Amino acid sequence: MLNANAVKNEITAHAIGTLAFYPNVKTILEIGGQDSKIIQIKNGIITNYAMNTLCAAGTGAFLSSQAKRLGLEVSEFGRLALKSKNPVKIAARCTVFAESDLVHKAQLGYKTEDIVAGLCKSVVVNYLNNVGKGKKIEEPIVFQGGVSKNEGVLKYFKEVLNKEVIALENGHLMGAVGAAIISRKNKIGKTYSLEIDNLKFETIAKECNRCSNNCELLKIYRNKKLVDSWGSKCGRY
Amino acid sequence: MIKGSYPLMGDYKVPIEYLLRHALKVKVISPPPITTKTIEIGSKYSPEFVCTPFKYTLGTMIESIEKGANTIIQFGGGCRYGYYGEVQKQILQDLNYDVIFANLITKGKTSIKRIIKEIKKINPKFSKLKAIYYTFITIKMVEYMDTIDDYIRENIGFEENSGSFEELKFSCLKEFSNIKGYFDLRKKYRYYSKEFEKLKIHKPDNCLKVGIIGELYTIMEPFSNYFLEKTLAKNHIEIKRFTNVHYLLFEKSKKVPKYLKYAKEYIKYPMGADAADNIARTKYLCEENYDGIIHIKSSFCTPEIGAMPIISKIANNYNVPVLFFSFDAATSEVGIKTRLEAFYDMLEMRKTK
Repeated sequence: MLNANAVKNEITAHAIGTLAFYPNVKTILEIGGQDSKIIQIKNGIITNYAMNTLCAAGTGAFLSSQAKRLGLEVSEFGRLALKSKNPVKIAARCTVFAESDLVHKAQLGYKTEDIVAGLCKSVVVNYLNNVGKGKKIEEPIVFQGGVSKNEGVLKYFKEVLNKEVIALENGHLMGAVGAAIISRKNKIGKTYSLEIDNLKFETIAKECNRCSNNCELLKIYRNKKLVDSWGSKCGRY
Repeated sequence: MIKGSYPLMGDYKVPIEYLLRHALKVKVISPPPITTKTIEIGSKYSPEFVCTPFKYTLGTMIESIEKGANTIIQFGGGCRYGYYGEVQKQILQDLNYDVIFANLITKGKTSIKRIIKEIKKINPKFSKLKAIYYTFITIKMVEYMDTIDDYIRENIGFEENSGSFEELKFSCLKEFSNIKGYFDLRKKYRYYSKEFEKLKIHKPDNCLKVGIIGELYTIMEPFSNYFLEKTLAKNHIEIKRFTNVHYLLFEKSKKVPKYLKYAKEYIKYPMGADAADNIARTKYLCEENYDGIIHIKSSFCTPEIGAMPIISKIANNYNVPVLFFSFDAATSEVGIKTRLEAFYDMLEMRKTK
């Protein structure tokens, strides 16, 4: 659509981006808005990875929605968590139940910072139990993704793992850096223009009724010209 | 008038229909191909936490009843699958579908006597001698199909004219469904094996090789694994898969003790269904230097859940990556695609460095 010369998924992009800054990294912990992943690296090659499979509990979206509920800015969330001396236990296996637990604890009158710290800790524990299950987490460890900006989560990662965890200053941009590197390495050159603002994109969804799959087809138009359409199971479109 | 139907699984509709048509002399209502609608119907009437194959088979049953079938034949065993028949029969009864339900295997067990009794419900006048003859042909057909499929899986990723393998497979299955007898079948099998070998492929020596292991229905029904094998083939990967019907019917009982011996440092007792097999296969794939392993199962498949930690342990010991998939009626296709792509990228990176 934007004349990209390489199409890569986020896991590869994240790993390559981080490797550019920390060539000897062994474990990448990544928590983003909706997904979280762990990438294991040996001698600069990805050897294994895992991604959250079912639930978004313990990702950025969960933290930010809870911050809103407590009337806090996400940016002050982490700093507040650091103040707590007695983090609350929160059942964070599932986002929905975590929220009701949180409401309950808030009504009981727990201090805000304790609740916030409890949330940060629950994200860490949930991540390690869910995504990091059965994986050897070896140093050096890099923690990245949007949530790595949260000092509270970082603190509890260090505490629970009992290892040094590095959070990058631009941790939330590693995926973009990786994509840029992949694109640079690609031998096919394409002119890329930053005219996204002026381009007009239109997406039209259509249901195909040829069989009972009823696939939802997506058609994307750039300046009224059809660029791509996808979504069919049979491969007709 | 008996109009028989059966739960669908992959391409095995051809031998099953052949058997029903000839041995039992029933008119076969071919179940419609599995689509999103099938699984929607299946999930609607199934218990919530039953494994996904139950939902798929129930869905095809209902769809074929609506198409006109009045007799359903169900067969299966190994794990919970052995009890599917009873539950599905009850569900169909509760839905007020008036059908004859022939459940060839009950409580996970079966005997010739039971099969004969159930078949007599469908066709009281069937000839045992003929049934034996056609069963023999059907078994042979399954064997031939599985052999051809193994060849296809190894090579389809490297075809020069895209679609050539699928086209030939399609015509092969069409011919198989119209064979006249055993010798005709053998002749056609030999013809098509040669034809498949003639198809042009461009296969590098160091291509990526991936082994697929896991729960049997999800492995064998491409719709339920979101066409995993097809996606892999598009990325030029050689695929090794062990589970097929011939294996389950004839090789499994002999192989399981061997498997247990082969992987004895990891497993001592069989764990139900294919769990022990998959653990031994993991070791085999690791020792044969496969680049990666993909383990697929339907959600809530208990034997495979038990096998998964052992599989990760073996793979860790050999440093081979494993990708676990758990398919459900509500799995997001994009999520699968992302994980597969990343897996493919990772294998490529490991190989080139």
